[in-house]
Amino acid sequence: MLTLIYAHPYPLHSRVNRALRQAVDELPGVRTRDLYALYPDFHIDVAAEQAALAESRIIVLQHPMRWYHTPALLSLWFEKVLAYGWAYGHDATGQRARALQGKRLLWAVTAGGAQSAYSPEGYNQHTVHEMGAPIRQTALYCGMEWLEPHVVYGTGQLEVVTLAQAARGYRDRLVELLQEGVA
Amino acid sequence: MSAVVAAQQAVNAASTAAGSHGPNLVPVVTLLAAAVIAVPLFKRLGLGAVLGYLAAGLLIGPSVLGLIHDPATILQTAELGVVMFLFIVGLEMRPAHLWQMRRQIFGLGVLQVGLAMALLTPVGVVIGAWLGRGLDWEQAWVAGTGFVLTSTAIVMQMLVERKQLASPAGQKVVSILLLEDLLIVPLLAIVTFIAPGGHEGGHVALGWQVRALNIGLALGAFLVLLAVGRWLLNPLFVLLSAVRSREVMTAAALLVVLGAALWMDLGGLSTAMGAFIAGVMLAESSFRHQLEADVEPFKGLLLGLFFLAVGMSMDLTVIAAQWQLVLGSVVAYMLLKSAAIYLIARLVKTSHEVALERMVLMAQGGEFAFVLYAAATSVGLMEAEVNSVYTAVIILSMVLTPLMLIAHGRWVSRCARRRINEPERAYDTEMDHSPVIIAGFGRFGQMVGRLLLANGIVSTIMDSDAEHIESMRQFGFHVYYGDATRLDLLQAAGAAQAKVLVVAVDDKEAAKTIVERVRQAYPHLQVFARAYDVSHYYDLRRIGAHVAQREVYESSLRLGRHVLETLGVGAYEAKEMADGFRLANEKQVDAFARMREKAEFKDYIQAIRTSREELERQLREETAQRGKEGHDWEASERRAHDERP
Repeated sequence: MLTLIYAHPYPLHSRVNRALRQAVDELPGVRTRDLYALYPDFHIDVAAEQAALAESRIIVLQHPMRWYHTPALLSLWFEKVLAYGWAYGHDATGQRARALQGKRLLWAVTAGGAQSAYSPEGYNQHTVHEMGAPIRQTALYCGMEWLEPHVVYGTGQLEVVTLAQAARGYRDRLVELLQEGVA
Repeated sequence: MSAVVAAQQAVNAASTAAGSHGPNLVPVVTLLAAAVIAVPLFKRLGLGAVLGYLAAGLLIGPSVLGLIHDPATILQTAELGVVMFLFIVGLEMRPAHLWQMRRQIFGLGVLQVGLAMALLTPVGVVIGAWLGRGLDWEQAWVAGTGFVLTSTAIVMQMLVERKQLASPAGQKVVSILLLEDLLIVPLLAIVTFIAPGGHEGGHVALGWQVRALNIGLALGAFLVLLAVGRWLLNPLFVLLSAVRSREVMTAAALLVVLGAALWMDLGGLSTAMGAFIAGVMLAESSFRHQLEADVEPFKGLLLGLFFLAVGMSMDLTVIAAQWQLVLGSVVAYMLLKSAAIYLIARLVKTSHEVALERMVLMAQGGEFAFVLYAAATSVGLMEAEVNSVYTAVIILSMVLTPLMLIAHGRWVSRCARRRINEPERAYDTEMDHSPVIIAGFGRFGQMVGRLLLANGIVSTIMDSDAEHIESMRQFGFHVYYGDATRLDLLQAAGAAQAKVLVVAVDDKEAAKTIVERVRQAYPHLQVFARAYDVSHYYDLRRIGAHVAQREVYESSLRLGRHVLETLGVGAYEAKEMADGFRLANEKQVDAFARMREKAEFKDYIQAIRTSREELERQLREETAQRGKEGHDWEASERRAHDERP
């Protein structure tokens, strides 16, 4: 089971994320949780989120970059869902809590700037991978396997054809991940 | 008097003249005019439509103006109104629901009818003997039983006017009426059976075989109607609706009602019963509302005509000649029937108030009495004169019913007022204290109280409805009985130590009184008030409520959000839209509140107008900006990305 945590505040105005999501939504074994649709008031159902994660082997975080970081609701999602006594620390019985241990995390992020901008020479000065450090460390801290992030650059300039290619690439990546575990 | 004679002659002349070329419109125009004039007048006077019809009928009938000579024929036609009424009542009753009511119908109904019959039968003998015109037992039984059968037309109309048809109490009344409608069948059979010579083997008498045949016939007719309703009516309407002709549907609706009535009549059952069954069989059909709309106007008109005809049938000469007998019988019948209704209602554990209301509502004789008396007269059981006396008794009781209901209503409200002024139960003065006092524990106060309770804060709750408090107690809420407009009771509730007072009473004026008094007496207390609307909100804020919340504001915004979502707006975006709207609205409301205090009323109105134009301008701009879905958004996103560092 693959759980896709989807965080876009305005999904209906999205072009790239919508296309990416549509490319994988119907894949067998993929279950999407659209955070902004589920919790428009930012009141996250922690139990439901944890249950969904516990059942999954692979977790995908898909969102557009917002000021070099995740959208606010996904940020809150980390705080609420990856809770002490569940994702880390010790539970009520004193057992080590590692609910996410061994699960694989894929960070699928879209960025407005071109790839060249995300480099020491570019105006963003850092690569997307560098910017993903807090997410990567969160995954590692919870005992998850950190997969090579899936980044789509230059979302503002993507042509119809390139967008379709990006969507297909994303789909192939997830299919590959789903098959890896089975084999 | 000469004016009346002149009017009568004029009408007669006109009707003769009219008769010579074309249809005679005089009676129709007279009837319509009487209804159009009398009903609004009586409604205006607070006497109700039924009484209006009855009075108008009496006025134009043979007894007074004599504009209409033959009320009996009109009554016959008008009984179709009762038939249609029962059809519509049937439409609102699904078979399953009717099945649920079986105990009420056969239990409550039989009890009430049985007791009333036993009490009313001796009246004819006793009063008759007292006035020297004694009836024998059979006649007295027919006269009394006629009175036992309540007027479906009047009671139903009353229930509809008072919007009680669907209430549990209303449904019980309907159950009893239904049983009485069923009873007309065996009663008519009994009348022929006990007719003089009937059981002595005369040639009028029917052998038991014939009677068994009749019962079998009735049962057969009943079953056929059920079958037709179950399997034939719906497909028929599906077929007809394909024609897409409004008139055909109306005709079909009338055909069903009248056809069912005729069929039952042929089978020896009551026409009203037939219409009722047809209605029930169609209650779950998808054409239900259409049928109701089609039949409704006919029902209304004919029912009005029915009441008019009843008024017209009131024979004042009979009443004048035998006024002691008529009045004595009316009083005795109504009292005894009331007693029976009340006793039975109390026996099945109905509350005193409901039993009393049912008693007033049902204490009259009904239209089935006319049928029963007519049958009794035709088989020689009742003399024609006796018939007209008791018909007058029935009509008089029908006329009295709306008047009694009005009197009952006044009495109830006076009692209620007295109860408010001098509470039977003393207000609680010993209350547990808490930081939060909630005044008023209806829908609003409950939510506040439950939210607090769910988080471990027990509030001190007071409400001034003793019954409501009892029902809340069942759910484990301890609500004190107290009127929060009284400072001594607020003191008892701990207002001096509490931090917050939630004013959640639904009476607008009471809420203002509480806020005003509390702000003076307990300046430290934070007052949170439930506002009815914007203007109540202004009032509450002006007199010092710290927070006021319009009672349906949040829920309507919430609903609006769902509408936006359904129209294709993202959930979070819809939330933002609602949040934006709330913010703008609250700012505006507060700005107006200040303006309302300072400025003249005229300026305030002007400001509202200007602001509405401003709001419309904003809305227009917003609409234009939003444009087609996603388009402008993307452009601005792209710009944002390009301009990003």
